[in-house]
Amino acid sequence: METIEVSAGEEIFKAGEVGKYIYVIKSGKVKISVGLYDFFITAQEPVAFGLEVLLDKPYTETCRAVEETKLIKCEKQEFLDMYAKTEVGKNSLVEFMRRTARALGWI
Amino acid sequence: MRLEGTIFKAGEVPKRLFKIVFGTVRETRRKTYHDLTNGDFVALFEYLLQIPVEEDIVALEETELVEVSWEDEYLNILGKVYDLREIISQTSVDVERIVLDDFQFEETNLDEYLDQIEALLTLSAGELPDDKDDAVKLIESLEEDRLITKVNLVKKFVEKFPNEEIGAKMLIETAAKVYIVLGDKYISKALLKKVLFLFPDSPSYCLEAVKTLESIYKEEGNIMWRKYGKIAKLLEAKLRGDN
Repeated sequence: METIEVSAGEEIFKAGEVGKYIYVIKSGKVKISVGLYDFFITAQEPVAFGLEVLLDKPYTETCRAVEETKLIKCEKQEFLDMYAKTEVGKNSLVEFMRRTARALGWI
Repeated sequence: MRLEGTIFKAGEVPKRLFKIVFGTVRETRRKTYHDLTNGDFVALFEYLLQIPVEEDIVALEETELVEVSWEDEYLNILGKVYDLREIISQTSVDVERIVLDDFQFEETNLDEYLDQIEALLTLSAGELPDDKDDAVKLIESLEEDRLITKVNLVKKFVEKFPNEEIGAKMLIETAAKVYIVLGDKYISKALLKKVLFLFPDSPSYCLEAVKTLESIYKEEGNIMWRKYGKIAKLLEAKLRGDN
């Protein structure tokens, strides 16, 4: 697990890519694109993205830093041990569901 | 617990998370229903977001549910949401590279199907006049009790006069009548898709056809409505650009 810095405009990962890492936002702002919809997350309420890695599945979203952003980069087991059962884990699941529902036209 | 009937009432915010051990539970959102079975979570979306359910969530048969916690089911819940994501990718339209396949035409041959209906009902109206105006008059003179004949003549008309835009108009009007009067979604959808096939250069007719397809799919609870909704937006944008 390590903290990384990404600059404004930098792509963190792309939908369809098979990745190894889940990211928790520490500071800054990230744009998450699902299909035709864009969502923004900030460190105000820390959440993780890239949860697909927990299922050994390809990413379904494209994530890009909007501004200078700090992220905690974790591998699958690290996230499960450290975050999954915490508020960060719950919020991440809730936000993943919310983005899905939005893209499905449920909300 | 075992139960049959309502699990969550419309307007209720689910405070507990239930997993289905066996049985079938029906959830309805935006007029589209989903049947949940073994291993699925009831009202997962509303539970996670702590929002009210739109319509009653009901067990359609005797169903056994077990209360679970999100912590223990973390990966299973994530897996279910991921499955929904797959629906998004299956029904999404790449606006940069839209192709005819995006319209997902049924494999059954429309003309064969209509010929079979025509033969079955022996409602043949005979040959279509060679003069376009006479042909239009004949088609327009047919009342609602001869709708299948009308469908057949419209089909013949667009084959005989492929460059006449009035063919697109008649296809759309007949599709709407078939849907309203006969309630036959298959014929309606097939006629509307014919508009997209035969009149791709008439965006306003295509838009009308796509919008009607969107509402038919929505009505029958088929997720394909999303695809047509997106195509409609695309055509609307194109039309705005053209104007």
